Formats: sequence, structure tokens, C-alpha cells
Amino acid sequence: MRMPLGLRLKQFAGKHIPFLKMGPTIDRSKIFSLRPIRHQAIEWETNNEGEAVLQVPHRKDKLGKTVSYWFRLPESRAVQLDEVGTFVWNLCDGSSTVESIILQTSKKYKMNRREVEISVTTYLQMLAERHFIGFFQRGGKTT
Amino acid sequence: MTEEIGPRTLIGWQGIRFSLPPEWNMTGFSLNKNDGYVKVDSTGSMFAQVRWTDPKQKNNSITLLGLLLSFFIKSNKQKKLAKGDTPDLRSILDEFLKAANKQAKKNKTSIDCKIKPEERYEDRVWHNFSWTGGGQGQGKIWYCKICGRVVMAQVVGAAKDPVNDVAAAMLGDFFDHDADGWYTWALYDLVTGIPSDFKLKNQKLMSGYLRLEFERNGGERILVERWGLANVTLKKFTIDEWFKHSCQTGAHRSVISQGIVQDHPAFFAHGKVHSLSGLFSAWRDTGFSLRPAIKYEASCWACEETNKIYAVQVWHNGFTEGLAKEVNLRCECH
Repeated sequence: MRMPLGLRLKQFAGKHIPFLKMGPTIDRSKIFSLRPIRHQAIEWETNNEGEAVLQVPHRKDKLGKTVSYWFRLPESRAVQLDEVGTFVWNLCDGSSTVESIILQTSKKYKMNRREVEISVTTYLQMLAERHFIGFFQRGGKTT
Repeated sequence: MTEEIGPRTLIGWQGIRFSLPPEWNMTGFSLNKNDGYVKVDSTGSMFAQVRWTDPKQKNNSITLLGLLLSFFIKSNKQKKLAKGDTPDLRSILDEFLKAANKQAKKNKTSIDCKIKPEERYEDRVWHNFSWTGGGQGQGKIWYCKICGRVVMAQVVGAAKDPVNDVAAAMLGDFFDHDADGWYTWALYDLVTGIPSDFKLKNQKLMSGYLRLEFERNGGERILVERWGLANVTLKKFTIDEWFKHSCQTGAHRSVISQGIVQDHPAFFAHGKVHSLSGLFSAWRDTGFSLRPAIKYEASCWACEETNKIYAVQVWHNGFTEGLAKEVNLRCECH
């Protein structure tokens, strides 16, 4: 989940100035109840090995168009996910919570829940930072 | 009692062994054998803490000043211990609870502690204790005459958590030493047995990869590794390729053979340290004795039941031939 710039600056300052240190803003149970959902603009297909290949379109704003024109960038770039990444990607349909994704991954790959928890949350965070997915909470708003 | 689904989690570290409800996992630990710490978290708000110390531990100083100081400290300690024979558990516990109270005051709460009178049975002396305030905790501090350790274990949780049940089950099945000279090392689905005179030299605990490296005087080494996601790995490599890639079979000019470990088909390697630098370092590690640990044995197998790959590598001398086999037998995969 991408943090607003102000919050990121405050977090950065808190690392160096003790009295500006931020307390935890969101607890574990709230994170686990979030539902990741794929970005609508991203299309994907599965290759022969069952791994998802995402087609991530470039920015369509003025700057994006100018950069694409001058550097002759293609319409989109391809990102290939590995097997476990594909499994998690397929679950990011807005119906599964983070906790449910962790449980399903743990069950499918027979991994310890704690190990899966760390990997899956880091992976989802990475996807969110690249704007491939967003999170929403039932009754709340999408980020 | 809360209902438990699945097998209990076994935790084994530096000779300490206990079990907790399923899905509890180790999140904190220390590498020191004589004075250590383990923290195990539940998926909710509860956690278990174990601290141990050896009041008669040797000082490892090698400087003259260190040796002199350790001599004076040791002679003082011996005088003190000779009086009561057991360390003063009550004062250790009071100190701990005082620190906990100080911490609670920082969080603008206070804790109410209850310490039960000292009890003795066979080789153990103990106090049970509990505290409430900003949560609750229940634990026990004891001294074991056999291993000479003072161990303090407690379960902490929120007011609504079943701390009493978890603490009772944990403390009822707690071992602070092993009888057969082997320590159980158990964390994150990895359960293995290592001779108690081996010390943990190095560890790597990553998501999907665990590595524990042990060493004992004389340069003998044991390296236990566990990889998760075996089904994904084995799509790209065979177990034979994985074995050669991840273990040092080539460097030791090993002969590869096949066999069975824990009911799984396994690959074995038998070799020797050949390089001059390797031979010299093996000889140096033994203190230039005539028994350098230059024999190399390794094994690797995949367990479908747990979807894991295991590898055990042992460097030993000619006097400990069965060591690798015994470690393989004690490395429980399913």
C-alpha cells in the first residue's frame, strides 16, 4: 500500500529524530482483513509453465506520453511472475482477504504459516508499491 | 481449554525443549548456550518467553586481566553457592518482576504480582508466579541441579487470552536438558538432533530456507539445511542436481550413492578434504592434533509429505564414523 508523501516524510524523519518516531498506525488484524485487488488496467496471460505474464501499460498522462514518444517505448511492459507469485496474483481478485491468501498459500505449499505470512505480506506490499494491486476493506474505501 | 487443531509446535533451542499450541512460532532467540533467550509468538496477542542462565558458567576470557577477574569472581561465587547449594531464585524473580513493573509504569499501568512459595522435588527447586495489569502472565522459575541452569519461562497475553491453559501445557512438558547427550533443535517445522557438545556457530532463518551450523572442539562441523517449496524446486532440478549444487560434494571429491533416509529416497556423498588450505584449516581447528576433521559425509532428500528438501553435511574425524548417520536418523521431516 503506497503511503502518502507527508506520511512517508514523517516516517523518514522519525528514523533520525526520536520524538518524531511514529507509533504503529495500523495493527496486524486490520492488515489481514484487507482485500487486495488487481489493477484494472493490467492484463495478464498464463504461459506454458503456468506462470502469469503481466502486461503493465505505461502512464497515459502528458509526461508519460512525451517520454513514450521520445524514447519510443512500447505500449506496455511485461512482468513475469513465478509459480507462487502467480498463485497469489490469482487470489488478488477482491474476494480474498490477506489472511485468507496466507492460509491458502500455506495449505497449498505446505509451508509454516509464519514463513508464508512474511513472504506473502512482503510480496503484496511490493505489488502495491508498483501499483499492480490496491487494497480495500469491506465498508471502507479503496487505496 | 481452547481447542487445538493440528499437532503442537515443538520448540528446541540450546537444550531447552517444550511444546506450544499449533501455529506458534519462534520470533526471537539468542545464540549463547549458557545465558540465553527464546521468544515464541502466537498468531494472536499471546507469546511465550524463556530465559535461562548458568550461574556456574565459565568465563571465556583469554586476557590476563580477564583470567584474574574470573578467578576472583569464581572464588566468590563458589563461596556463595556452597552455602545454599542453589541460586537465590526469589531474588532473580524479584529483579525480573521489578523490571517488568518499571516497564509497565512507562506505559502508565501497574502490575500486580503473585509469587508462590518455593517448592522442591528431586533435582528441582522452583517458584510459580503470575502477574496481571495491562495484560497477564503466568510462569515458573526453577533451578535444575542436573544441568545447573536457572530457567524462567512465562506465557504472556491479553486479559481475555487463555494464558493459564497454555502455560500449564507448556510447563508440564518442558525439558531443560537431554538425557542421552543429544539436544533437540526444533523450529519452523525443522526438528533435528545434534550432540550436546556441539555449539551453534551460525544460523540463517529465512522464509523457506533454514540453515543451522554447529561446531565442536576439534573442528568437527554439522550443517543442517531445509528448503521449503520442494515441489517448485523439483520442477527445475532433480534432487541429485540440487544435492550437488547446494552441498560441497564436488570440492571434497565425493562418491555419490543412493539410499533411504526417513523412508525417503536419498543421495549420499562420502569424501575427504583435499585442498591444502582445507587440510591446514582442519588441522589448525583441532589445535594441531593428529585427529583433524577431514572426512566429509552428506545426504539430501525430499519429503513429499511436508514439501521440503533436507540436506545434512558433516565434517568429522576418523573416530566419529557414525555421526552423520545418527544426525540423519534424528532429522525428522514428517
